Amino acid sequence: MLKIRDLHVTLNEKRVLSGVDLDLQEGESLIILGCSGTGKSVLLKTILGLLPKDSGTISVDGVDLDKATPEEETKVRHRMGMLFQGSALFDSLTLWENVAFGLIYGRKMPPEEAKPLALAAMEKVELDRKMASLMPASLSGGMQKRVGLARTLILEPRMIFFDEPTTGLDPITSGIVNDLIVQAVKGLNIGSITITHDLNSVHKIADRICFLFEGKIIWTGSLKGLDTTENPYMRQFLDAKPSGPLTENRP
Amino acid sequence: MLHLKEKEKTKKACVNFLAYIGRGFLSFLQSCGKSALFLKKTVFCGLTRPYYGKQIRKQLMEIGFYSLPVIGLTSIFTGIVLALQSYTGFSRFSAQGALPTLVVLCVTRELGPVIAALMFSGRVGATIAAEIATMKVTEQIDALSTLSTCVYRYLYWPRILAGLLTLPLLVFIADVLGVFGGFLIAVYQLGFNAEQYLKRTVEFLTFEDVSFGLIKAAFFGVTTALMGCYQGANAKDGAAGVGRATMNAVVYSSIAVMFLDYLLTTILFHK
Repeated sequence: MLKIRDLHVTLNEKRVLSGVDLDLQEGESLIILGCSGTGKSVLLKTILGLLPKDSGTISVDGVDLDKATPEEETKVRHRMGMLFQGSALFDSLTLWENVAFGLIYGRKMPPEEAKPLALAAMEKVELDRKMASLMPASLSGGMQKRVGLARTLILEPRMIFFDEPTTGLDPITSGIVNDLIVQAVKGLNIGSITITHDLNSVHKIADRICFLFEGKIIWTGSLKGLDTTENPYMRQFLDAKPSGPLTENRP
Repeated sequence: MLHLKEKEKTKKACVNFLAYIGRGFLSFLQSCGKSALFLKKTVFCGLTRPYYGKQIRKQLMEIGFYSLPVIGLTSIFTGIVLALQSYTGFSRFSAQGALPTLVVLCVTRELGPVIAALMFSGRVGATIAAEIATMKVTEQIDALSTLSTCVYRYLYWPRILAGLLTLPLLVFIADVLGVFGGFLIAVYQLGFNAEQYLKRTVEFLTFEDVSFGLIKAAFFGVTTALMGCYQGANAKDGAAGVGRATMNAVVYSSIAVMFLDYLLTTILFHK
């Protein structure tokens, strides 16, 4: 479904990604782990076309995005969705307008047709219809995440990227968000890439896990492999040890 | 030996100073080029479908209508002070009769457009930059792109178009209010005859005096909105970045207004 080969990205004259290879299958939930500042969010934003890459290829369903026509690229991008770390809700719009935004402005659906769909999408993420007219600022972080998820799911993407979906949430709300992600990904057979530092989330939603260090994927494995790995980098990360190869080799 | 070392040190300091100025100038030229490309892309996206009419109407209200009180007030006081100061000057060589002509020409050709544009850059440039910069640092602009919406068409074009359309209208109102301010002070404080004052006001006023002022205003409006959008879109580093973008938008648009004023005055009024 998604194939990334030898991806290099430089930002502000600093090499962030240096030769990332990654595959994502349909309906698969892939987790990317890594220390802060190793380029995890940059990787997602590069796949989405929000950041430029230096070299490498990104293909979706066999279509190389560098060689795709603008129409093909738009079609591919329409199949991708993203839940941002801070939810990134539009603070000048109400909740239902946020959820329906992609339908109204991206797909030119009249607002009167988009509103019922937005309300239904809100219900799917366990948000009351009565909240539809509230502004994002009046919601808690967990509720904002749910609105963000509804805004992404309403466009029926085939691939979703989650950027630290449970960061800053209490354990119960994190659990709810994780359940919603599992429901969305498994229930709708959507491929997903999740960036997280939350090992509970990893155990709940991962099919496969990658570890990113110094711009490269240095470990890939299953959930079972994660618990039994003897890789010194992985062990330091999983055991949360302040000293070890991750901190010694940190640029 | 010591003298030579001292000389070498001074030479190095001079070179460093010149390099500093050179870097600043090159960076300024780079920003000008990038802003021009930003404007080109915005106009191109704005003129192609889909058109976001609701966004354009909203910006016409926000940028245009809500700027009216501040620009109107400033203009009235500008007219009042201009009349008072000119009267003092003219009375020294018994030329008080030229006051109405001076007020109307100064207001329509220069003070109306420039003062309105400076107030506009303070109010609108800052608002646009702060709003867009906040959207940038909270990833709302990235979210727009992932929701299949062209940021240039949805965010920047309505603001730049509103700047282009509303500032000339605001300047026209500012012209009228500025002249009215001068009229009030001349008639009620300086003892001018109201009918004579109005007659002298329109006597030497030409169509070009007003229309060229409005043309200047259109350029100022686009520049101010462009600076707000450009600085906002390039904001980084959280809250500090939003503050920096806002300050840069106001400073750069004010400087650009003064520079454009000189350039357009030379081109339009001194053909």
